[in-house]
Amino acid sequence: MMTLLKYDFRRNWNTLLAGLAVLIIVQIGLALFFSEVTGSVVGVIAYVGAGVAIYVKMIKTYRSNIRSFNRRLVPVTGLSHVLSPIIFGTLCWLGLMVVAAIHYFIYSTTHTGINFTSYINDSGIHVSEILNVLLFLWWVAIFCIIIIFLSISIGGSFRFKTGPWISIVAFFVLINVISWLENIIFSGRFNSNELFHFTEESTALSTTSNRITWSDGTWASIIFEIIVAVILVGVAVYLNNKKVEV
Amino acid sequence: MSNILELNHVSKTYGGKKALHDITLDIAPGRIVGLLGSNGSGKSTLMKLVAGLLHPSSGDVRVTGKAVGLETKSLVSFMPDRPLTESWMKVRDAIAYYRDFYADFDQEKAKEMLDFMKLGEGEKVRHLSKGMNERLQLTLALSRKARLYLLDEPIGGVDPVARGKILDAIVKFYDEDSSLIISTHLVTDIERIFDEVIFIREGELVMREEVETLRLKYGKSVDEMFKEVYAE
Repeated sequence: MMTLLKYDFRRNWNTLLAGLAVLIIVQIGLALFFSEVTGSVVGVIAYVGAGVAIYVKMIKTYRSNIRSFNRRLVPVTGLSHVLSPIIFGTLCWLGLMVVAAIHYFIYSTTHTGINFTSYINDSGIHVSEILNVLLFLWWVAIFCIIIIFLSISIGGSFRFKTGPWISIVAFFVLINVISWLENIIFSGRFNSNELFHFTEESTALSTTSNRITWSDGTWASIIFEIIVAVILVGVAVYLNNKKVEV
Repeated sequence: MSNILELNHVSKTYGGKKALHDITLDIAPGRIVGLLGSNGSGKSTLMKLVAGLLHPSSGDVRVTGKAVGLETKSLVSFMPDRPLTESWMKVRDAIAYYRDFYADFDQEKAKEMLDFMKLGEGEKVRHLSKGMNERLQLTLALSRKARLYLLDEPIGGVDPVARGKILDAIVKFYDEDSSLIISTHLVTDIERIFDEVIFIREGELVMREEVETLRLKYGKSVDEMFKEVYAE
C-alpha cells in the first residue's frame, strides 16, 4: 500500500505544489494589501478552501485508482486502493495544518496586539480539547469520504453511461439509510444534536474554566460509524474486486 | 506440463451485447499464440478478462490453475492498447513504477531493451511519439519475468520501421518458459513469430490451428487464412 501511496503523491505532486504556492501568495497578498480583519477572515476561508480542494483530490485519486488500467493491473490488495487516498488526504491536511501553524506563528510575532494563544489560555480550553475537536472533524470528513468512495464503486459496477448518476443516487441513499439506522439505534438514548458538552465555570468577575468534552452520544455515534465504515469499506473492496470494470 | 491459461465456457456481455460467447481454450507453456480477428471481434475483451480488468458474465478463467485475481496479477504481464504510463512520468519513472510494483521486474533487461529501442531514460513520456510510446510499453511489459504475456495490438498504428523493431524486440526478449498471446488484425507483418493462431469472429472461437499445420494441411499462410475466415 505504501507504494501505491507513493505514486498517489507523485501523480498529484505538481498540483499540490501549485496549490501551496497559490495559497502562500494569497496569504501574503492578504497580509500586505487588506485590512487586518478582512485579511484574517479571507485568510481562514482560503485555508478552508485548500482543505476542500484536498478533499476533492482524494475523491479523484480514488476514482482514478479503481478506473485506470495502470492502477488496476498492479498486484496490490483492494483495501489498498481505498486506504491509500484516505492516507494521502490525511497527510495533505496535516501539511496544510503545519503551513497554517507557521502562518500563525509569523502572524502572532508580527501582530503583538492579537494573541490567540493567550486568548485560548484565558478561556481555559485545553489544547488537548482543541485536538479532540480536530480529530472529530477529521473523522466526520473520513466517514463521509468512505460513503463517497462506496458510491463511486457502486456507480463503477455499472457499465452504463449513467454510472456517475448512479453514484450520486447511491450517495444520498447511503447517507439517509445510515442516518435512519443511527436514529433508530440511538433514539431516546442520546440527543443526536448534542455532540459536545460545553461547560462554563465563572465567578462574578470572569470566566475561569471552559470545557469541551465529548458527550456519551458522540462516543456512541462514533463507535456506530466506525462499525458502519468498516462494513462500507468491505463492500467497496468487494465491488472493486468483483464488479468494477475498466 | 500444466497449462498457463485456461478458459472454460467463458462468455461476456456488455448490457445486451455479446462480446464473447462460450469460449473454451487453453494455452500451454512456451507458446507464441496469435489471437486474430477483425475490429470488434472480442480480442481485447478476452485479454482484459485474463488480465482481471473485466469479469466474465459466465465461465471460468484460470492462469496457472489459479482463478484470475490478485495472485494472477503477479503472473500476467499485460500490454493493453493504451499506455500504462502516467503523463507526469519520464521513461525512468515508468521503469521505477514497474520495479516498485512487480517483484519479477528485471531492471537489467529493461535497460537492455531501452537501448535496443533507442529510448532515453530522461525522455518525458507525454512527448514520445505513438511508435516510441509503443516501444516503451513493450519494454515495460517484456521486462517482467511473467508466466503469461498479453500484448494487445502491439503494432497497431505504428509505421513499418517501428513495427519491425517491435517484432524484433518481441522475438529477442521474450522469455521462452512463458507463453505469449498477441492480438492483432495486422497479420501480414506478424505471422512469422506465431506458433499457433486463434481466430475469433463476433465473440466466438472459429478456428485454432498450428501455423505449420495451416501451411501443410491447407497450403495457406496465416494471412491467407485470415482473409478467408473474415471475408465479407
